[in-house]
Amino acid sequence: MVQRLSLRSLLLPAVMPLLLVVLFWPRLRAMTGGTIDQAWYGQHTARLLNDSLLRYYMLDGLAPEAAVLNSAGWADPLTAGTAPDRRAPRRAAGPLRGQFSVQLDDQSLLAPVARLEQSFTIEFLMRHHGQGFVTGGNATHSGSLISMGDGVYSGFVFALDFPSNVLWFQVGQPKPQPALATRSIQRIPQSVWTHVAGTWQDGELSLYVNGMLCGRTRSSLKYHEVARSSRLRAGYVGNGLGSARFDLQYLAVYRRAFSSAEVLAAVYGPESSQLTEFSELLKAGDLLTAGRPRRALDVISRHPRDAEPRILGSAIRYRRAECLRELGQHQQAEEAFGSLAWQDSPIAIGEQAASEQLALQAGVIQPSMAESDELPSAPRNTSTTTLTPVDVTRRFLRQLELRRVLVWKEQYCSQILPKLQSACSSCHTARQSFGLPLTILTDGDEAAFAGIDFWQSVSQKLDQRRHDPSHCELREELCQSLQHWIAAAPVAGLGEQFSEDADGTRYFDLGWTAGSGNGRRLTRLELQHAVRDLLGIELTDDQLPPSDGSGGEGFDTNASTLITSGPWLNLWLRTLQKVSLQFVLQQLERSENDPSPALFDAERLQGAATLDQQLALIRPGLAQFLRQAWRRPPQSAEIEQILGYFRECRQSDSSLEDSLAQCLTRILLSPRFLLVLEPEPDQPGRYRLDDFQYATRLALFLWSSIPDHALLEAAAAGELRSRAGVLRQVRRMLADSRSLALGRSFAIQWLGLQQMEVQHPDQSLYPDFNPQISALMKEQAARTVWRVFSERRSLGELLASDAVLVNGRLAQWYGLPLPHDADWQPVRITADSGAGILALGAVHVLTSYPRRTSPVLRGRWLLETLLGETVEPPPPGVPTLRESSSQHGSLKEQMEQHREDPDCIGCHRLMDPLGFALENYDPVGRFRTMDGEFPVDASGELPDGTRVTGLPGLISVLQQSQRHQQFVRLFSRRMLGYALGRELDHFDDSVIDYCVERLGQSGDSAAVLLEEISVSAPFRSRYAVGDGRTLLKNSAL
Amino acid sequence: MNTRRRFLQGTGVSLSLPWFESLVCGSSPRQSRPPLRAAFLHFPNGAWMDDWTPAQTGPDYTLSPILQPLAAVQNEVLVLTGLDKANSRPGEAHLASTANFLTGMSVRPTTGRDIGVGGVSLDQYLAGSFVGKTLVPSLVLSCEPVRTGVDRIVNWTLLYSSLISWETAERPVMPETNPRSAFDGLFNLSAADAGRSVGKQRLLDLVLEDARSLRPRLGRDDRTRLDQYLDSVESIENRVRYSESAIGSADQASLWMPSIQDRERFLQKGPLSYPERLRLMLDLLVLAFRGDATRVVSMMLANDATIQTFEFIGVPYAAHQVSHHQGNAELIDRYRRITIWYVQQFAALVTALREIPEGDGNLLDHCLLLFGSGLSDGNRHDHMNLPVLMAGRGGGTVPVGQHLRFTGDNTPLCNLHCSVLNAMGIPAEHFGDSNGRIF
Repeated sequence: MVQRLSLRSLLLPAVMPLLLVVLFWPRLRAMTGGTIDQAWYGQHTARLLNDSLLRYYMLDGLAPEAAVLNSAGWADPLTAGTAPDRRAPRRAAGPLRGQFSVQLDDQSLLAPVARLEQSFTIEFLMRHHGQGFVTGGNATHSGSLISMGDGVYSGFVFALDFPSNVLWFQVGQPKPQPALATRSIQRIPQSVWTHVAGTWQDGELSLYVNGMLCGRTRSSLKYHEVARSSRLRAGYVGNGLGSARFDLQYLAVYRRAFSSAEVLAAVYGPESSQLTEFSELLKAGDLLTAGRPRRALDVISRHPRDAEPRILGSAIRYRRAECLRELGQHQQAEEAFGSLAWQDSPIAIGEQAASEQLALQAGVIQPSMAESDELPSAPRNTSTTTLTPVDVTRRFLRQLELRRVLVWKEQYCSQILPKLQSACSSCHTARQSFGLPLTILTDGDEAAFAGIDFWQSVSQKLDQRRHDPSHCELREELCQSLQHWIAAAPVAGLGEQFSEDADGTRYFDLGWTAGSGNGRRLTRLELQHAVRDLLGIELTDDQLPPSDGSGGEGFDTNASTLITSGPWLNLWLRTLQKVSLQFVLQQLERSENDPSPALFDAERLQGAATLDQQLALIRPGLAQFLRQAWRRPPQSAEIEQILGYFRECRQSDSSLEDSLAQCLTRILLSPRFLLVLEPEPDQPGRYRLDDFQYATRLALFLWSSIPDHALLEAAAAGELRSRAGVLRQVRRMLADSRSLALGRSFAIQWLGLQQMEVQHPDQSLYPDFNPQISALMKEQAARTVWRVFSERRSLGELLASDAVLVNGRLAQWYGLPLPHDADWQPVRITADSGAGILALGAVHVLTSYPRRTSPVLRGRWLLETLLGETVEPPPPGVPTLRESSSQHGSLKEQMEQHREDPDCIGCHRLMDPLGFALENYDPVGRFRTMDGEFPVDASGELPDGTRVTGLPGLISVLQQSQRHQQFVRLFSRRMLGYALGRELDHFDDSVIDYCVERLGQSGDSAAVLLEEISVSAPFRSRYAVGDGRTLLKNSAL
Repeated sequence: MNTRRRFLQGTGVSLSLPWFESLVCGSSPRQSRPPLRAAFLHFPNGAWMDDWTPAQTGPDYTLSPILQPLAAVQNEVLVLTGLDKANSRPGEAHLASTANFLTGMSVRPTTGRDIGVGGVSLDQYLAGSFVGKTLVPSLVLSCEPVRTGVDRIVNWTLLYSSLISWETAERPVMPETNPRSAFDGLFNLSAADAGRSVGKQRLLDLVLEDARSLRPRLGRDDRTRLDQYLDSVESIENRVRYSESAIGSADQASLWMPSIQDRERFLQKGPLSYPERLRLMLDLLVLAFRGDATRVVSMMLANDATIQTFEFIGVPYAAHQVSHHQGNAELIDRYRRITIWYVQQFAALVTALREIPEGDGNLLDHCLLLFGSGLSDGNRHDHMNLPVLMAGRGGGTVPVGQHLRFTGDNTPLCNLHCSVLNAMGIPAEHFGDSNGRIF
């Protein structure tokens, strides 16, 4: 009797796919339109409509929690694992522009188990970047890609071997049987989108790369289901396998095994299956994987080569070259690969062929898949250079990059250059280039190699509407085409980086970002704080060495501009001799109930009769002092050496206090105190800093000082090895008053206030202004920024706050109601005055001339400091504004002349309105409504037409989302440059991207920025250059 | 401990010795003639050349308006017109023009990663030949703190605008900016320290050991930092060694000390205004030459593109801003007045040196002073036809008392540098981009 099926159970399987298609049609359309390339990547519709589809995940860069398009009805989403201290999945570029993928490393994406039986297909599109953070067990280098279960005793796994880049597909078997595996006969090249499919059909395991069969094995074994508690996993699985760093775009699981034809059609499109070459390609694949390359070659050579259809042409030629290689005809194989190398094709067969050609040239030949009597022994290429697989990969990547640049350059010459020539050269001339290097208007090479940063700044300037539409009609169109072209720039993928040979050839390194923090000398402020923390003495200006230069992102923590010279060290030595004696005398004279920590028991020491007794008494104190000064537990030999020095001094008639002082001097003169140096191992690679080095960096970053005992103890206890432990310390340090250094060091330098004292407003106009007010304003700026961090406020409060931070004296200056001797505190202000950085008196003094305000300076300062947009100085022939403000109309009226001159308007329409909005603040930072005899007109019009009035108006313009993002990003960038002590390049963008993302998630909490930088890879690791090329080392961060 | 040491210990005295005819010091016998000294002074932002360049050439020339303050010492001065620095690229202005004032080669554009000026600077090159002959091989001074920040428009570190002395093509010598500390370092040994050179050497040995044990384990970049430290320790060791040998052979009666007034002036507490600091630095230069603490001094009178204001001469505007006169007569007047003030300070220095008797003449006779700027017209950031002059006969090597004009496309400033080298006793065929010599 036929059971009656309910309507629901009938409809659901039929309707569901259609429903999904309907729901997601717009998205699907976007994916499937376009050229043949896009058509290939856009087979999503076909997949969705496949009735054997069990799971489908399209990872369009979304947060992994929100997996998309699961045909089982959203019941089995992919989520990120929760293992702490692992690298979280990140968004990465996808196969097509505007598309994204997700990059995985040692953190995997998990979904519940998929019930598979004796036939199934796994299909995915991925691009790998080499070894991830974890190597395999037993020091084998491997990386798992997709797996379910452990892939060894049950389930399956796809993995890559490094550095050979061989892909293998394995199905697990319970003990004692070994797992069943098949390997690809080709290398999977790095940085190239590759389609992988694996099928299991009743004991037959097949592996397809880019649609072509490349590995097959048969057995009588069965597929063993995995436990319910297991997971479908993308990424690192463990079990003796390492992690691969790869971008995943989609993953599909089907409940039956596809035939070779279906896989090939899935890659080359359904229309390809109509071609006769299609079946020949399939047959050749079967023969090749069965170990019969001669037969395969016969099959594939049936058609004359020029008759090959475009769609399958590259696949056929590739297969042919593979046959030749398997036959041992390496010369011809190399030529065959070479003719295909770098050709355009629907999928990256050109790149794959190039990789194979290189391998052949290097003599790095894959062992063939099956032993067969037909095959002669494959002779090694007898070229003199023996390259390793790593070298081959490196060369391949270099060629890949060069190729991309050439393509990009051709695009420039054909699409962009004609437009630039016609549009730009009328204004950007040799006489007045406005900062544009004129060679890019003539030379494609110059343009392509000008670098991505240059072009991004060009794009930014076009974007900023510097070019008044009435003067430059082609602006819109030029903007768009330029931005398309820039977006297609061959910027290295996330985490890859360039190195340069001595001859200037650029190539890839395998690794994360290029740099890490640098070793350097302690800055002047850090020395001051270190002495304060160690000896309790505040060094005066005369005792400190001269101030340091700066560089990189503009901070004196920049390693390369912190120079140590003879006079510098000599001054430091003299200071130490005085100060250490002062400290020792203080220690010896301290009273019984002095709460401050004692270095030794003063009474007993002075009472000690013999030298040995004295040594015993000072040993523990000295060891502790040494630990803090040198920022790590001292070795016993080091302690003995210092005690030996004490003995020497005493024996040459120095007094007790002199000898002690000499010991302290010796400790603080040592490079172990003065320099932050991080020894490197011999092998190049990225290494985690040891606990004490990390603690030092944290203390320098957050306190501009050395670590205190609590931090050193946390380091010794291994707390800094976990993210939670580090964050605990960071939060403690931020809450400590020593974090005011962030204000005094970072903020002052960021805002450009270092040499504020040199600004002298005209005494005749502003007689009340004196150096004390100047110093207080500087302190106010430091504390205002510091408060946002220490009280865990939002970064937005740097711009828009409801309170001004002042002390009594400064409050008087600003006209705020506070008693004269009040301490620093926030004072609420009304809505129509302003607070935040733009209301700081220091900023107003900095951006004024001695006798009048300067809207131009203020606008420029704002653009540069808060938004990171630079404005070129005026051309030399342009006359200046008159100096005295009240002669010919108000200042604003006089500045209107900027609007009339086409040479001027480009830059001034950006700066002037921002500066006008701050006109209410006079050159000494006080609020005013009259400027001489004219009322202040604090209004202006931005290039996009927005009217800005006064500081509140300005703040709301800056809070608007695009500018706010720009501000947040710039601030993060500066902070990262300060922390790392070097300049940043666009490979550090990934860290900045991540910080900005996390800020967005946490409401722009400033403290979160510090936390994320503190745990970021460049901050907590060191990149040992060695000879400059690397494989990632095992560093379980 | 002998009485000499005790005497020195008690008065905390200079360990440098003035040149005296009768002295024989340590291992190197003094020459029969007074030694030559060289000083290089850089003023910022160029000058208004129309009022700098005298109209006539040769020995009978009238001083131009800006050079008027040199009237009293005109016969000790050599004015040079038409010297160029072709290796300063026009685009980057101050940063590309200051740092190579004493090297003449190109300044490398960078935010700090690879600073470089193409060669060792003239003063450091000279200093190399004085190691062990004076207390310090050279003195590098600046009247303003080192400029911090990065010029974001061209992405250059502003460090370049504060330095003219480079001990290697990539490593500058950081200037001393505090005249008191500098004086203390040269002349004011505290009593506790005077007899302690043995102890000091031991201290230095210990920290050298630290450095040497660290060095092999460091990467390339960190080694560079440590090498700077090692070189600095070495320079202190040289001082210690010199002091020891000097004390060992000093004749008690002929020791020279800075006067009580000098000491009081230098050891006074309290903030210093810019002109006060500049004057103290120039005094220090005189004392350093007088006491033969060094024979090479380089001094930045201000950072280039300085924002220092000059209200003390009635120009309450920043010097850099003023130098961008845009052809405006009022601004040019201020620009001129600032440059005149700098020339006045230099004239005072020249006069002070002339008043000190030495050998057959005076101290100035045995000096070669070079005073100039790396830019000519500050508005156009012109790096050709630089405002440069020399003072002091250099023991007879410098043809003072005339105005020399060099025409032609390119007469490198380095020709002058090469001449200075030869005058100081270093036979050099060329220096920087020189193609000949001036004298």
